[in-house]
Amino acid sequence: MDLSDQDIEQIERYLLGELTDEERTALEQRMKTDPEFADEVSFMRDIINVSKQEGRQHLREHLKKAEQKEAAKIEAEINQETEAEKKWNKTNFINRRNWIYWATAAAAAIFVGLYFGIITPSGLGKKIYNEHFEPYPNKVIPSTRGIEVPENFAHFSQEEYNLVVRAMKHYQRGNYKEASELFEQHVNRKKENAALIFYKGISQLKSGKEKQAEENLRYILNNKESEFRQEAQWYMALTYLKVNEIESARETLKKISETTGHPYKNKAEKVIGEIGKK
Amino acid sequence: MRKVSEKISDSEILEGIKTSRNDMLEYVYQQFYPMIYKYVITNSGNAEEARDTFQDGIVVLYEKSLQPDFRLTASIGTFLYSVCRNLWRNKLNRQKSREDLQENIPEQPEEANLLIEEITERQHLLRQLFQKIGESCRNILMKKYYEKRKDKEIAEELNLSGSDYVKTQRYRCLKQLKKLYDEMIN
Repeated sequence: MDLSDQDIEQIERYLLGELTDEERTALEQRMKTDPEFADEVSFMRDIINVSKQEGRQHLREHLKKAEQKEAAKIEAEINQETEAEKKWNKTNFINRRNWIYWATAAAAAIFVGLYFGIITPSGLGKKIYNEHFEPYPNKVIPSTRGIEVPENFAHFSQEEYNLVVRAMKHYQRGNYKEASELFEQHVNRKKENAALIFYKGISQLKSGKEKQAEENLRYILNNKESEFRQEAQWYMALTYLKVNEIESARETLKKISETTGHPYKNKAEKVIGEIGKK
Repeated sequence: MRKVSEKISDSEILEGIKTSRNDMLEYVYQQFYPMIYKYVITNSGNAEEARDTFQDGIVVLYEKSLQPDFRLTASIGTFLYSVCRNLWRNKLNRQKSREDLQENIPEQPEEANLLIEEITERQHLLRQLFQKIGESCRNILMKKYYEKRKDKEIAEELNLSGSDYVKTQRYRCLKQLKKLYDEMIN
């Protein structure tokens, strides 16, 4: 049966629920009396359904493309995080279980050391460093996942930025070795990176690379525009303490304590007191 | 490149999904896939199942957003999470009842029902014929019946001269399909 355009339009509107009550009653009446017309309606219903299936498949193909580009990356990142968390929990568990043992051993060692005069001022710097070191909080990388490169990091490609984000995550979890390695690979010493170099330096300080840490912190300190200059100064003093360069530490701490409004003024004064007079 | 400062609104995201803009779909993955992946793998699923669940979730979100009474009462993230969770739980339940040889398969949530495709023999043939009617016809029919676009919008999106033209083209496509079908079964 060849349908007129008017018929097609009526059937289409009927199936899409666009007819008025009156029109609908008329059309349904016609279907009852004209089986061939009823067939056309049913055929049209199938076409609409098939168009929907095609449309859905079309959407799925587009989604598949995005999935291929993004999913593996996201999954790997999450797996890595979960692993790191597991590892962290595990070490924590061991530490918790054995702390009494270690505490007893340490107390005994200190007692013996003190008694025989083995603990000399050479360990003093490191001790003070351990007492005063606190990781500086992340203030530069927004913590939401999956966002694109922010304006202040526009000199990074998306890929590099993702790695920097990962470095910062390691830093925040206390995985300083991993953090320092990633920072070393992706954060060069240049002006735009000033904020990140600060975190790079702290990560290095915590992973036994005191020399590099000192260089990077000095770079921040010498950079007049850097937002973390005063903070870098404090961490530099801590670096000197850690390697037991007491005089350099004292000098830096003195500068801090003499700066009005320095955020670490009080701490510096306290540490100067602890390392004692020359 | 998009900057963080330009927050992408939920309606922008929906519109991006509707027009299958690749950059927006990638954004949707970056933004929402992590939580779905975490959910599925911590609930005895694997990566492939997580991907499938997420894709189904987007399809449901998209098709629901086309319904005239659709209102996004929560954020897209919350919506997707609850849809995907229902889809995944439903799949686990059905798997479990099959393993336990239970007679009474649990009832499907609405989201899962939406995705069921029961294809009749004639629809199966029609899908093959769909490949023969040319891309322009396919696009017009998909936009009209799946994406529920108005003729005027279809004209704009496909760069056609106007809504009347879209309409006559569509009727032509429908007649062509009918003709191909009649030839095939006779």
